[in-house]
Amino acid sequence: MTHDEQLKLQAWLDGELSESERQACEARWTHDPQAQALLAQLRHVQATLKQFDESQLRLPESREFYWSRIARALESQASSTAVPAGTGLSPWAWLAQWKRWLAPAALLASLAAVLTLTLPSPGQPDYPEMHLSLADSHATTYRDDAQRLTLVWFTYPAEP
Amino acid sequence: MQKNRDFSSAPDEALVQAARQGQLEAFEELVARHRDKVYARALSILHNEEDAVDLSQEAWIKAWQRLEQFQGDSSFATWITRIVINVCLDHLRRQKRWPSESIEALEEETGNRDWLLPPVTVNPTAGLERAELQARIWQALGQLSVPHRTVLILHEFEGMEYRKIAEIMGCSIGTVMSRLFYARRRLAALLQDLKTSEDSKP
Repeated sequence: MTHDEQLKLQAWLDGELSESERQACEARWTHDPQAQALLAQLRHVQATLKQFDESQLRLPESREFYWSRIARALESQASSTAVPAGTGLSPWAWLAQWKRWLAPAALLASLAAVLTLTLPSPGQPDYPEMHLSLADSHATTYRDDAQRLTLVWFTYPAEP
Repeated sequence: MQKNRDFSSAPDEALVQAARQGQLEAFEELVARHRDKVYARALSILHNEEDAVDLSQEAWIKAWQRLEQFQGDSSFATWITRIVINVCLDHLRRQKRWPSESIEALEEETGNRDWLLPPVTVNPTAGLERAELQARIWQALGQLSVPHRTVLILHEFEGMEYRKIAEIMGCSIGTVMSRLFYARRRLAALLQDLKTSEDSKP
């Protein structure tokens, strides 16, 4: 017998074949000693399992003790989901509701801080900058951020 | 949740109705009536007392949450049993005790390991006291892998068809057939060994 035939024989035993399949298989297996032996084995296993009494598998805990844990879980669920009608959320419940957003908010804030400190700001040029300031005093400022350097020139005497 | 009646003589359907209305004592009565059956199913699948107690309690908590979904198409006992089976299977998946995709596991699934072996004849009652037979069957079931044992239990003890087992276990009907076949052959071999060792006693 092939493995497929064995599975088909099992399906026949379990009443899982259609009527036409069932008749065809019966005709084929009736005189097949291998099929008959396998069928006998499967039937014996079925019969053995039928003798197993599951009612002997009893809870090792008393009714009260077993129920107490279930009851605690149900009471806990009831108290955590109950909202007094017309009063809206209590301050603690409101805080608890907002607490779940604290972790993601803190993460976003940290990420923003790191980016701000590490990336050059868009207004800050990455080349030395020279510009005039205090035009009235005729001072010229040279600033190099990379070198952390700032120079200021004053013309003397001041140009008119 | 209210507590105000004696429900000990009420039928399951009335208890479900009362529990839906928040009467915890009605639900407690349902637990008291069916707890052994629910525990037995968990234990037969898991073969671990502590896990079976924990998961059977988890099943009751889920049942309370889903009472509205109980339509009465089947009995309450059948409904809660399906819940505990699903809780156990979810637990096993989380524990990664479900079959791996190894060659060995696949061979076991398809029965390639032993399908050429000659059939083993088992006499279920010969020379065995009832309690002894119970113990030997239980021990043999414990030696099957979890998926093989589960298929066998769902088919033989719950009377489920292949299609329903495949649906619950999330596999194909072909896999169910292979697992069932392998489980039966393995059980036959295990029981034969036990019988032989018994016979060899003086």
